[in-house]
Amino acid sequence: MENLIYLEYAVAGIIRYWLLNSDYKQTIGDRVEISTPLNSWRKVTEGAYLYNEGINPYVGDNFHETPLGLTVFDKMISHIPQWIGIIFIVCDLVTAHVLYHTAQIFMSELVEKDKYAKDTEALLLKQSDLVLPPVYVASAYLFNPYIIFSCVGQTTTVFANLCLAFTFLLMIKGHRLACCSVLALATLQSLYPATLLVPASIYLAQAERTSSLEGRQSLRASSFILTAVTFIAALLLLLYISSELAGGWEFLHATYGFILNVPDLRPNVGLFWYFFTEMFENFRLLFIYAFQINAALLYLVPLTLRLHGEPMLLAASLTALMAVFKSYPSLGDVGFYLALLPMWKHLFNYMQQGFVVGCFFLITSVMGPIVWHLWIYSRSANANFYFGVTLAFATAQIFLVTDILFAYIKREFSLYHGLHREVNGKTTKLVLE
Amino acid sequence: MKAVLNTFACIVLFLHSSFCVTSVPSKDYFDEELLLKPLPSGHIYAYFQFTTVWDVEFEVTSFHHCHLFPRALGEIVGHYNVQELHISLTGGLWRHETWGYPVHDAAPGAELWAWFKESTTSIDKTWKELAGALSGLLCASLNFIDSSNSLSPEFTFRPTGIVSSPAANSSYLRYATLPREIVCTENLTPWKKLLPCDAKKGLSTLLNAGHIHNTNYHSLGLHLRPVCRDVGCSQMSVELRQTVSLVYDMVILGNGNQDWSIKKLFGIGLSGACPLATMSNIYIDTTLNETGAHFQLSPTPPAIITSTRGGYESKFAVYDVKALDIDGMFNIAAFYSSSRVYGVNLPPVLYTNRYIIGYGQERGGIVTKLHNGHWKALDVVYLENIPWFMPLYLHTLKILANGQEIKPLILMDMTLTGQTINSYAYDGMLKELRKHFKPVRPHKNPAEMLLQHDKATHKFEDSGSHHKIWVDGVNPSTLQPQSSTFRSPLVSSRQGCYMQHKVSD
Repeated sequence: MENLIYLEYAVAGIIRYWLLNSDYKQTIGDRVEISTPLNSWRKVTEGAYLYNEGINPYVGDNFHETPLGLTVFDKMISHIPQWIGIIFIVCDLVTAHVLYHTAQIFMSELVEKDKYAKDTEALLLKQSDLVLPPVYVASAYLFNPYIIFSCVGQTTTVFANLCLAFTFLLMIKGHRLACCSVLALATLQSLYPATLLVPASIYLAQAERTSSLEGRQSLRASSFILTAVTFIAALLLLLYISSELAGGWEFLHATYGFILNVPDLRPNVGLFWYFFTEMFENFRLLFIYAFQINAALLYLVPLTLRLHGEPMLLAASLTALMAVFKSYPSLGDVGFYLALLPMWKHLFNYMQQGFVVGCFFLITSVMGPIVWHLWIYSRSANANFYFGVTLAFATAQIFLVTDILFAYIKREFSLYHGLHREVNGKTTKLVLE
Repeated sequence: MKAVLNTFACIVLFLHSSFCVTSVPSKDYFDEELLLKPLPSGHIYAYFQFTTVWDVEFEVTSFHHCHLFPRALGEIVGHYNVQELHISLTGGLWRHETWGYPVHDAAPGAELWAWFKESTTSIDKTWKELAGALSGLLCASLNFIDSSNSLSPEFTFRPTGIVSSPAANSSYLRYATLPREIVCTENLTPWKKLLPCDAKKGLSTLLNAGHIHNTNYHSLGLHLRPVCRDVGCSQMSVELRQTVSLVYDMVILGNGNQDWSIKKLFGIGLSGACPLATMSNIYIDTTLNETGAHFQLSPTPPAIITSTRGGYESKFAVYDVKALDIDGMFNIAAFYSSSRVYGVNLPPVLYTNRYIIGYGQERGGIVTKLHNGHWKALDVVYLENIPWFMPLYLHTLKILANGQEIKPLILMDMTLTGQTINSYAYDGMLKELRKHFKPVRPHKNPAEMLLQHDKATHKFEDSGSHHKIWVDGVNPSTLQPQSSTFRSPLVSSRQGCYMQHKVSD
């Protein structure tokens, strides 16, 4: 198995290296689905250029990376330009490996110890069921075209995904300081990962409980508070370092302000651009609030209440919802949460929408570039065509998320109530209403 | 008590009378001039210049009592603490390559730039208010000037009048253009009302809307600056120049021949000088008479003067309208001996053309070509205001001269808050252009500037979303060669060779 995974890394690395050195690189990097104003390498180059010319890149509205990112990327561009492609590939492979590791640890947690209903032995996971999913996770990351394109297009989503992967790993390992620091780094770059603090704190509290001598006891509030404080302290420290590097706080407006206010309405795979292009200016603020609450906070409380026993699934679904609803999503974000899904391979039997979602993904991925060309270059279509495709893409993703959550609930129900279900003497079926 | 009141009344009276004494309008005079110049391309360039010079201190109170100076403008200038003011409202594009430099160069649409006095506190606010006030004065859309389209470029502009300190501080300068502005009669009428004779008498009677707005190029100008009253410059005067530049296409107007006359160009003859004018002259450039198509002036000019500028000798026929003793209508006509002969086109020292490249609505590029017609290399200062809807990638800036890439010497950036995305302006100095311009046949190899940009998505409510996109023009300027023959060493290509020529006559 180990050999197989290393072979996969080698093949994935070669594919990426070949594409990076091909003529497709520029085409891929220029796609709106891959590069958004937030993650495009073109903007990074521009920011580094302005920075070197002694111009504050945050005063102009063309650069949205953090000062920390700016400093690192500037060093990369000016000192090791020939290695930039390699750095992107290595980061992507490391992300895949971290996810593989995370999945392995998660699998060991999945071995069920609880006492369930009598006839549920068939449902319980056996040791043999837990070998392959980590390989699937790594493969889904390494060979997902969304991820490959995101890496080849040199989007900074590659680094965001790396931070997120480390957050997942450190969260499951229970290292509070490291986990909070990485999460703060991810939050610094793209703000939305802040919601992952909730599953992380649950995980860390659980880890504390299992390591303590008393054994089973309720989660302690002090653990949650400590996690939150560590995270906030780490984030503040990073912000302070950023302000020192940038020589002021203007970057907050250019990064977080940009993410929250959505001033650039260049189309992407998300839902903001079309809506806010058509918006009357006086309603803008209201809908900015509505959309951002939807993206970050709306699902946090209900999902936490329902899934607090399964923080990994909570974290994955929050990541997925973030990728659907955030202001500047790209396919790199979508690919990341898709790679997490094989961890719940045992739920796939309970999913009903797999075929529909698969078709949606396939068709929208093909239709997107076509209608984009018709609209932007041939002038024979208009914005509605492309918006239709992005809307269908978002719908497919929401189907996928609800499906996997419902599959989890169905399995849990079956475990506690047995496979045989009868209401008033009739066999019944579980339906999501 | 009564005595006290009386004394008080006396003091008030005394103060009042003394105030009256000081506020009697100071010495002022008004000149009107018209230059007619046949261009080698067969066009006729008509340039009107109405100059009001007022020997007064440049202060708010000075403008409360005006004589020849337009009070409406004076009050605005005084109230907003303006040191120097330049407005132009232009329709059409000046073709530098074939027409040479105009007396006053102007950006397409509306252009406004002003220097504020150093005592001005909040310049951005004052600037916006000034633009608003001028918008009312000239019925132009200058009220659309705000922080998103205003610049304070460091290199391109210098005060044209006298200044208190030798180093110009560009923080007191604001510059804006509105390329979409359409200039029409509604701007000409209020502009004419600022003249002492209005359009009732004098050269301004020639300015009839119907004959101005059918030209290839028309530009109204208003230029206010402080000047020296005497050689020693011990005192200050205020100078207001109102200008009109017109380019007539004789192919359209000429009915098959090249002959032109005042009546043909302006639709009306001249009935006499403005009685308030000290000088009322008509100049006709007859330089082309020797090299190009030969024409005869009727009536015969009373005087011919010669002027040498930058190595070029120009000849002007001068008609002093005041001395003409006009009875009825006066007309000057030019009769050509041959039907249509085009002169040799000598492109000016520095001219620019630019175009956009790329296809599709996603991204594009702007190419600007700077042509050097001088025998040696030139330093060029280049100013460009990129609107917010063309997010620019400065790292793609590529300057090629004679096949070699050159680096700009200074790249200044003035970034401004735009509507949704900020606009970029850069005011750079392409000093190194010097090294790479080959002295021989410079026109063959223009320096080429390439910049790439995105095309931003307009919102539903953005003004541009239903219209064409208008982008500001560029402002290349250079230190003119042979500067000793000019009053000012820095004459930008926008304010070309002819800038000083009337003044020095």
